Amino acid sequence: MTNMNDQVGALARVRDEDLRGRASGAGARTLLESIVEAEHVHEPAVRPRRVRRFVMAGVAVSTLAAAAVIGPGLLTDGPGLATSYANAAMEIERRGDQWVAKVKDPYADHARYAEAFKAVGLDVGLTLLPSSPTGVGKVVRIGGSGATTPGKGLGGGLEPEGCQMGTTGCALAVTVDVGYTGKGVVYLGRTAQPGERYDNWAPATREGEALHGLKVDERTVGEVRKEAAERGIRSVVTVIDPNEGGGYGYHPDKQPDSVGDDWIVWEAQALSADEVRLLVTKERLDKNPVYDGPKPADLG
Amino acid sequence: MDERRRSRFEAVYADTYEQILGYAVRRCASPDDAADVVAETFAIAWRRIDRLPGGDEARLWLYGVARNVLANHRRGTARHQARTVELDLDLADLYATTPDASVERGVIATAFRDLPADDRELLALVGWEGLERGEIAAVLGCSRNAVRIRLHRARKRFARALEAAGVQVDRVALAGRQR
Repeated sequence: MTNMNDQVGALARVRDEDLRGRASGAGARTLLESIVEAEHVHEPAVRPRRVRRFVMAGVAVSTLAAAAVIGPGLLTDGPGLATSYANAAMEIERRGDQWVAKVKDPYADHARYAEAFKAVGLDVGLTLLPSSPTGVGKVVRIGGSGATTPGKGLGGGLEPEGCQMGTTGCALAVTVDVGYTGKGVVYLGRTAQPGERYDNWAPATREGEALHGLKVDERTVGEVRKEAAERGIRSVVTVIDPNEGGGYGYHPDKQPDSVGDDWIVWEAQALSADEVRLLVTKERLDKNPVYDGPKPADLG
Repeated sequence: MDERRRSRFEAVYADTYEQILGYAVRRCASPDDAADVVAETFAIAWRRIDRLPGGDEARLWLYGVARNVLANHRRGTARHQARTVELDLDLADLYATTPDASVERGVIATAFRDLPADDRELLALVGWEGLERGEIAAVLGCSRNAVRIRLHRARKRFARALEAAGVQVDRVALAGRQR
């Protein structure tokens, strides 16, 4: 027997404790800036433009001010700290006002990355998440902890920018502004190993994914399953419930025993290199519940 | 003046972002919806910064705003603004790994989902946001006594639904937090 509050609590997708540190992450910061800036655009210009600009610039850096003050002397060329470092997992070098940390071994123990950052005086972690091809090199999120703004000054992606993973010289990379004194973690998508389940959510029809070129939405389960199988892709089927007023949900524990070949597919989600999840409903609906309308063309 | 407003907003934002994010993520089926709710809630807070109460009441006031934004969103009348790519990314991973584990937990979840929306929201404000009656009254804009009565009824309905589904209910716990 459990307490009713606990029973309700257990149904929560996340607890507030799980979100700790997000207020200083990239998502929170850019939202704050966009809200405050948008309002400025609409505000009557009652003060000289010069002043207003100053204030706007202030937003971006104000929360970092404390860090910036103690930053430079401590980190740039301070005694005992390297300006480049490499171990088997990662190599870090300073380029201008940024540290660029290239991942040499994306399957290394994450402690090796932290060790490399530490060697140049940074308290930064890197967590690589198995991702579908279109998620590789994408920042999943940037988090951190501490009183300052740990996400500010951190970035991630592919190095050189825009390169194709798997080609020579192309690597996952983290960038850190010189002077960064926070404690941060970058979550970055890496190539999944054979059979490894993806951690990201991507439509399987996107360019680069397993079902690219195949139209899956608004077709029948039978058709899509067959054409996916012709590509060597297995399909699992999940029945979704459209929400009133948009969106959808699904109930892993309440899936029907069988799904008809004539049921309707609305989207295929990449699960691993050879498996997709078809999101289906029994009836054909007026609009695609996954997108509240037609599936956007750029996902096809 | 303007800078004072801004620093106040930044302080409230830093204090409440994670809680409003949690509120939205727990109630929205998709990261897009949750991002809209978070973005619009804080956009409203900034526009009404002069009316934003101080202290912990700011959080309760924001829950109330988020609740209205969510209702508008469900009616399809929401504004779409202020969302950023970074925010979308931040939210995407909250949904990336959860559907199997937490969206549904069998009969309890079904019983909960089938409750009237007002009951669900009351029980959620207690079980998810951890609010007391007085705080819920502030969020919903009603009296503490009204909250007490409505919460009692919601718990009874939930308990009945759970029992009907074969889940044992702790009768003592049914009374909830007596704070």
